[in-house]
Amino acid sequence: MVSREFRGRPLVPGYVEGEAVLTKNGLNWLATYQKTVVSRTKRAIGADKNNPDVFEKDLTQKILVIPHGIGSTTGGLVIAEIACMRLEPKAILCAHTVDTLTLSGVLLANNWFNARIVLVDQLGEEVLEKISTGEKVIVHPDGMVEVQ
Amino acid sequence: MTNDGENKTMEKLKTTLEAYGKTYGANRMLPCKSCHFVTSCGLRFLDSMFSILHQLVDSRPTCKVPLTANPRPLDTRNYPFMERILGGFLYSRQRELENLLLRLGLIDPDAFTCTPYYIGNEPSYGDIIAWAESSAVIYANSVLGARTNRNSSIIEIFSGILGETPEFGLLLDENRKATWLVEVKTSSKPDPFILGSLIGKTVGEDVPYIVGLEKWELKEYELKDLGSAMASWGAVGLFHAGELTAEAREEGPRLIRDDHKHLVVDDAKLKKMEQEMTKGQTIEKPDLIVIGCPHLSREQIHSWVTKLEDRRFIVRTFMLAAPRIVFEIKNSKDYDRLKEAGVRLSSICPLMFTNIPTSRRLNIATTSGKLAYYSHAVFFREDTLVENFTVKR
Repeated sequence: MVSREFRGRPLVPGYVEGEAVLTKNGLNWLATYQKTVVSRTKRAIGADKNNPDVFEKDLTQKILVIPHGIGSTTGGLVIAEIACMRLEPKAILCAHTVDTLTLSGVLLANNWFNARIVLVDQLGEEVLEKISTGEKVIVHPDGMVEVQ
Repeated sequence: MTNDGENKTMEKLKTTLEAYGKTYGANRMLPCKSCHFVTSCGLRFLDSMFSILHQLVDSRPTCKVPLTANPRPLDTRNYPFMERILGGFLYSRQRELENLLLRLGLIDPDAFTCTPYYIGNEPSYGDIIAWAESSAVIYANSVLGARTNRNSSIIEIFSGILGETPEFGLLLDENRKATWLVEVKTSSKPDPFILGSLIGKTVGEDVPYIVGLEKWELKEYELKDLGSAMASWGAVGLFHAGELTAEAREEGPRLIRDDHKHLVVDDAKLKKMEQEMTKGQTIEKPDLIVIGCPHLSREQIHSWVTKLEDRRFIVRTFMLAAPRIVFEIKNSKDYDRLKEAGVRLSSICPLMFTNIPTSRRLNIATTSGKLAYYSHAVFFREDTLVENFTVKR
């Protein structure tokens, strides 16, 4: 298959390779991870029953491809807690400009808990159409996202 | 903590806030007048929050502005036995959290509610504030006309401690313009939670300007519920409603951008949204009814008293409000009437209740579109709830 490339804004740059989990709906961080945090599960399994794209999917160390984050403002802390549990995603790729919850979560995880979540935003709507869950994705430090 | 440690914590705090603002092009920090902290549960496992709060307390700063916090997770008097025991275990660090927040400047030992504007932390029109809690943020921006971004937990308290917040997003005039025109063309007054869910799901993180609600004279608390649903199904931090919200009253349709998108809401769309919210689930007889997510206002509780005039709930029913509001209601005539209707007053966060794993055995009915979104509680419109689950006294 021909590889596809997208370019975004590298807010937290880095090189990572991993498996994509894509949601076309905004990702509600609290609803998605609250079961993982409360039940202290060994894997981060999506629990947002309103979002079939992530519901019951293993999100541990995946590359999350999302339009943006939505929902409760505890969202940022939820990302930080997931990082404390060492179940954080390798990267978060936002089609739109990153929302405040997602950004805060990544900053808290990286600055206060020594995680290294790569964050790229402004990748454009196309990224939601042309990446599928399960595909291998490579994120480059300059914000280039490559799908293989 | 040594001076070095103190400085390091404050440095990390500033670095985080600066990076947060810089991403959105903030060129400066603005003084803020109020802070509302969202994560008010002493969840025993929430290491990230406790780690940061302890570092802050150890470096000895306090909030420079009034600080309130979201509701407590536990009510040992009113919880069923199982949830009392397991909740006590799950939220065993509650006292530790409350002590930390008091040391960071909480305005009152009982200042725990998602409606801080009902207990004295009420900003004025145009005030810059640093709030989290999605329903409080959208209320402050829309109903009060104050200005806050949808800050995440911890970021808000960083701003409160510095007394400053980065200038971007909803703090700026240009981002408070509506990018959607929402025309409500329903045959009767829409349920605020259903309408809010539909708007939130459609507009995502944009700013809607709603017309067509004026004729029904929505109450202030209905705007609160409408906003909370938008912030659950979407990431809406501000909405305008013609003649009803603060800036729409001042500026009217001038707030709508020329390149706005358009949503028409009719009965069919609301019906479809309601079905999506309930996912076809229904409850014959609930084990528990929860009303008040976000917390109820005094006037809203009074409206329930009127609605329940000669009726009584058939199962245990919680109505939730801020501790101060509960205290006031308990000292009013409404309290006797609520007791006759089988209602118990509490000040918990019902989302924390439904986080207790054993609560899943309970069939919970709620009028809150927000609680239904985040939990296994099933949504009912107010009139349906009264019709299905009350009897004549």
